[in-house]
Amino acid sequence: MFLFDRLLDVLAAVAAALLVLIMFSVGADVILRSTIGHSLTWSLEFSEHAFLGILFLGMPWLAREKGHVAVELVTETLPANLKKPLARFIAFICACLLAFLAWWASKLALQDYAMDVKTIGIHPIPRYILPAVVSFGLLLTSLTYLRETLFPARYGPSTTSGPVA
Amino acid sequence: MEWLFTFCAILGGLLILMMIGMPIAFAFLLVTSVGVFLLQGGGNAFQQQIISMISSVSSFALVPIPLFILMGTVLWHSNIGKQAIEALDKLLGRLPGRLSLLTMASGSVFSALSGSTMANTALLGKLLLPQMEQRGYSRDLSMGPIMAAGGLAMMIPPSAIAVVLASIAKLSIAKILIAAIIPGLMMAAGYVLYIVVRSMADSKAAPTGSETLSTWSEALSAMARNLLPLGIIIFSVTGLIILGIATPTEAAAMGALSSFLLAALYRRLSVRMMIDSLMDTMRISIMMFAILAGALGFSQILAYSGATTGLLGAVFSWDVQPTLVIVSMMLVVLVLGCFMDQIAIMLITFPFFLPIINSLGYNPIWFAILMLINLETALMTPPLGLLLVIMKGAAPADTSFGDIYKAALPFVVINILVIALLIAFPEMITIPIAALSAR
Repeated sequence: MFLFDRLLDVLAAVAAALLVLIMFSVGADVILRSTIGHSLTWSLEFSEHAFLGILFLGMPWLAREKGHVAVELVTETLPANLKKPLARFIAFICACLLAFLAWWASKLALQDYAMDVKTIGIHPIPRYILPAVVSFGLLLTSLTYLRETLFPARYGPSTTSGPVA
Repeated sequence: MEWLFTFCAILGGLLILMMIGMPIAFAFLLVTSVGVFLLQGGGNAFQQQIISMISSVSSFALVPIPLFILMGTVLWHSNIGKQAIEALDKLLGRLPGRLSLLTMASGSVFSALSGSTMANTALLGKLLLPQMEQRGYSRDLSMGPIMAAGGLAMMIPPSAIAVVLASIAKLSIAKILIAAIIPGLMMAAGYVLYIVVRSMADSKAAPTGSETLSTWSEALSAMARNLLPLGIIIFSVTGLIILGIATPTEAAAMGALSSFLLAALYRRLSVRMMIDSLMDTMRISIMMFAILAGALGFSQILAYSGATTGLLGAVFSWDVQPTLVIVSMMLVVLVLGCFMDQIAIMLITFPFFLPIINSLGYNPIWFAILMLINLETALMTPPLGLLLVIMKGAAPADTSFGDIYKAALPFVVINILVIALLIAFPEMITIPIAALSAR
């Protein structure tokens, strides 16, 4: 579990680093274009791909931090003996759903890899990387929810403390 | 009427999942997945769902969301934002309802920084309410501005929610940001007028005597040190767009870079500050992106099910005034605001509303601005608007729902008046957009 948590921390740090890179690449593009008339042609496509990385590398970390927003207006009124099993049930459903989608994302990645599909753009990259990142992120998020289902006392329900971001 | 059954099943399923506490992002994904299975037969259609998720998020148009938030968190963690509010406090002097006005300004700043008016209400309710109570402010002048401030943050650039709306509705971000300025100023003027008039009419509601006043030289010096340098950021965002040097998307990056520059100039740039700012930004951005990831798939499944076309047909089969259709849409949003946040409401309603708006011949940017104001109004409309419930949790124990309704109602009325004015005079939005298009 310790290694799993460190992995989530490292992936969140990578996601944050991607955001910093987006900021610098877009900023540099504006400055270079308006001063010497040179444009960073890779900046736009890099930002688009990096967003995918930010979401799916950061998603399991946010699930562990209970940051995925939920409406708890109704569940908050439930008695504790109902609230806890419901939270476990929700965590279990999330784990199953995300594992299921991770499986389909990995199938798509394998298919793209086998067919050597490239992204469309000025700087194409192998397209399998995108669903592979999706699959990896969804799988780890699924495991995070599964852990909460199996060990609720230690890892707790996986929703926020209210309808607050 | 088969579409009606599908429509009810999709929306009903989504609402039930949300009500039992499922994270909103995954509720959308689950409903879409079930829809893909039942309507499209599953199989390779699930791969299409994955491609939709990738397309929803891999968009350059989303750049302003995390970068505007980063800009705000850097200003917050470097204390530059707090300094600016203190300088503003000194400038306000003995203006009637000074603390309420300051709460409104702080609320707008915090709300823009946190990306969530609900988080803002919870935070400021705990932080500022006790102070205002101590100074003898009435509850309607202390709680009202806190709840209303989020609405201003949504309207005045940089507004991440406006960018989210533009992204979901596939509208021009620049046009949305520019079009929101006049309504935002109208709302701000309405709020300020209400607070000042209310404070003057009832001096006990906003006592001025106990407040310490700064001298003019102190106020001007605070403004020069703590407010004017923020001009660098305002220029980096709005100035570069107006000069045509950067697009709104790129201006967000320049704004974030200049907030780091400003923090460096104030000698507040530390590793701890940068990590805290980045992780706060990640928390809000990933939460928003996760919900957006389900957006395209959800609207595709709605369109595939025939629900969108069916609803469109039904609306046109009723012989009603187009304005009544707009008012009905606004009412739907008001009801949804009782139990959902803004992004979820946009995701649910836009796939239905926008085709209707386009078919009726209305300007979609104008409608989007009405929606922005209404989304915030919905959250604070009695009896069950979410902000009211959150305020109840944050306010002192003896605060009743009646007190909270009383505080929110004047601001709800101002918002509705602004919406009515915009419906009556759409030029207030369409003229600035036309001017932008003509450039």
